Amino acid sequence: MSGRTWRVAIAGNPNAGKTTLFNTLTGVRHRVANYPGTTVESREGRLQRDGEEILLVDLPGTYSLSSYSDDERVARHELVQRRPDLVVQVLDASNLERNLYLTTQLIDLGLPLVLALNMSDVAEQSGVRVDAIRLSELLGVPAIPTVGRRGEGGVELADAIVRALRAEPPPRPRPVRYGDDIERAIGEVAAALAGSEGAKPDVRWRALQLLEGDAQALAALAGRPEALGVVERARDRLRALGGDSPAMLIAERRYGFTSGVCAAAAQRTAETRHTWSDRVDEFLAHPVLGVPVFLAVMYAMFALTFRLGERPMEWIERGFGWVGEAIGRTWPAGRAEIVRSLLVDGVIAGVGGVVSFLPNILLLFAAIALLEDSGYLARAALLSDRLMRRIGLHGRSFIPLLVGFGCTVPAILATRVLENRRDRLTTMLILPLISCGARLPIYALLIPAFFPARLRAPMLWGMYLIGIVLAVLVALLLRRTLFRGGAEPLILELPPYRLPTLRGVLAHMFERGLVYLRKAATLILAVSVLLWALMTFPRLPAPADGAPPDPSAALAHSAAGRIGRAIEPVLRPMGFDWRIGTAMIGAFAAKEVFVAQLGIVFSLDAGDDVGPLRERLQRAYSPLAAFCMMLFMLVATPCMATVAVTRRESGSWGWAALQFFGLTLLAWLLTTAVYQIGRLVTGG
Amino acid sequence: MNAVQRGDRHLGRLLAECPPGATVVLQDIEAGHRLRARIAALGLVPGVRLHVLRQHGRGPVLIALHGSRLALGRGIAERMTVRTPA
Repeated sequence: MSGRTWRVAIAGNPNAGKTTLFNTLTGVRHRVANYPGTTVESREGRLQRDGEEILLVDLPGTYSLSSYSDDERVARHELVQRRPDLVVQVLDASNLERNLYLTTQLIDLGLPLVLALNMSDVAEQSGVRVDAIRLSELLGVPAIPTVGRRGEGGVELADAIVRALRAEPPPRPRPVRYGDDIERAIGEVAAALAGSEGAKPDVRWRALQLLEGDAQALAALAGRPEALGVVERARDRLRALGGDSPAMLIAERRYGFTSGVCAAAAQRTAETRHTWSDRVDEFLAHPVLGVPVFLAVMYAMFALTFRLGERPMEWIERGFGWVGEAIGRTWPAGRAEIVRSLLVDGVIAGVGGVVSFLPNILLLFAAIALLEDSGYLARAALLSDRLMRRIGLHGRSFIPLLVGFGCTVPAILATRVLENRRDRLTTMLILPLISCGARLPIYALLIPAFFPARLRAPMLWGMYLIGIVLAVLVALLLRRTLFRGGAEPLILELPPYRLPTLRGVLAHMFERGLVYLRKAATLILAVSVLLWALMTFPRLPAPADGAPPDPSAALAHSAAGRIGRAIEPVLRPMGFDWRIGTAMIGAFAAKEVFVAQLGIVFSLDAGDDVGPLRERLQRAYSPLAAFCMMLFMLVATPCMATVAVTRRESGSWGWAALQFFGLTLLAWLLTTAVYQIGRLVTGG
Repeated sequence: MNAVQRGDRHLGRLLAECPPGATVVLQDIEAGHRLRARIAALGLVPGVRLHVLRQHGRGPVLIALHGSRLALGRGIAERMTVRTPA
């Protein structure tokens, strides 16, 4: 027993089964956090074994440790800057050669290493037998066969970790040899680095990074022109000797090494692997034949998320409504009314709002886990890539955008399927423009009130279409301004099809549900209470006869009503008055609240019958103003839950603020233009 | 080794022009430093043997190499030269 907590990082390629193995090792005891300033997540979990206390850090899946993507930078930061006590690399045994490329970089880092030879079962089925003992001998590190999907090898791996941590001296892998030319260059650069700071265990790694021309490594050396000079000369010489960029020469050597290791440790019993997977892809990944299946799968995902989620959502809403009523009934009449109101209309309504998203989020992530674990997600991305590329997005953006038609909140959480930060933020920022289900009650109230029957259906479709067109335009705009840079070429790995495991799907689903509750719940609740306060204070003096005050007058008197009046000059150009402004403030809680709020400002009982409200609206506004209302509610001010999850998922308030104010400004400009031009045309 | 040293006789054939079913050796990638490194991490380095699975109109090229399957966009497949294996 050492009495200290060891830090062990888990590295590996995407699809190598890293996260499953991490879950096997840590059980349910782990937490998910965003790396500061990035959209990349890390999982940390604890493992106690043999009296040792181990903190396991699950790094993002990467093919290498260069600094080209956020994922790679995060993995690299953990390994280079924090230097964990040990690295466990999870290798996909059925794709050993490619996976070993990352191993060569981990070896260069000079950290103690343990290999988990994962999916040995799949490898054997596909005709590859890997000799773990031989591999271990060749690389000089322990190699443990595991089958993450079945939880096999977890105990052996944990034991190997503990043994490696306790070993004195710690097991260091045998260095990769890069051939005389490169080795000489490494020696020179290492000497130049060591000159001023002394030899460090990762000096070989740093020398290689510099020779490869890694931007981050070169930037770190900016203040040392003499060392940079050594690097430049070594690079020039390598380029002259090898006739290619040093980075390529090094990569070729790495693959030379991995193919040598593979030849010695892996035995190929059959020619190619995933042949049946290839046969399925003839069909599913086919640019024409695959489309119907793609559409069906996307429809199934949408239906699973929202159809199946409808009932539980109703139960939750009814449950919270019932609790609120029960409190209202049992509350002693006339005593501390304001506390009752805070409890029922503020807190319980707020908590209810938070929880009511849960069924959709859980089901959506179950669907995403099924897509991801089965391998279909990569095919879906491949098929939608050409379409999404036109608006500068990745094929996978299709999924969050589709989910956005149901609800923006789970859709923003679903941007997680995107790996690239630019893609993720662009998708997140345009998502509120996709007309979600909560906008429907607004259209359903206004369209029949103002438009003849033959125009109603096209009007409704029109609203959805306007949203899509605006989303595309804003995406294009973002790509030309904030997220500039040429489109990344499509390079996509298609993992073999696999049967998802129930355990994996459930783990994913509950993890996401918990993350949502922990991260977004407090924010949504706080805003609910704030909105309640805005609509409650200051209060009207109680009428002398003791009758309850008129809700419409009370709302007009409240801060929300006053804000509505104060911003009226801004609303005028769009054809709105203060009443619409006040209703919009309430609608920040959720878009559909707009309808109920309009009911209150027009002094109508917020009953189910919207007939009288429609009549009042008809008298107060023109069809043009009604259209402008819908347009504004479509584009402007995403609801508070959207703002909250955008803040959490993007990792900063800046993006949430940009989304909120940017869209509101866009809505104002657009609606003003429509109203003013409309008035000129109709002569209103 | 580079293309010159290998003394290739089949210079100039693009991966984007290889018919489905062809087995070829990657010769060179005409791309920036960043992109080449990204591709290299996936196993696409000069000298690697790959198998063309699909080639369809303007769509992506599907290839098999080592144990993995990769989809490459037209743009990048048009910048990769290949030769027939020795």
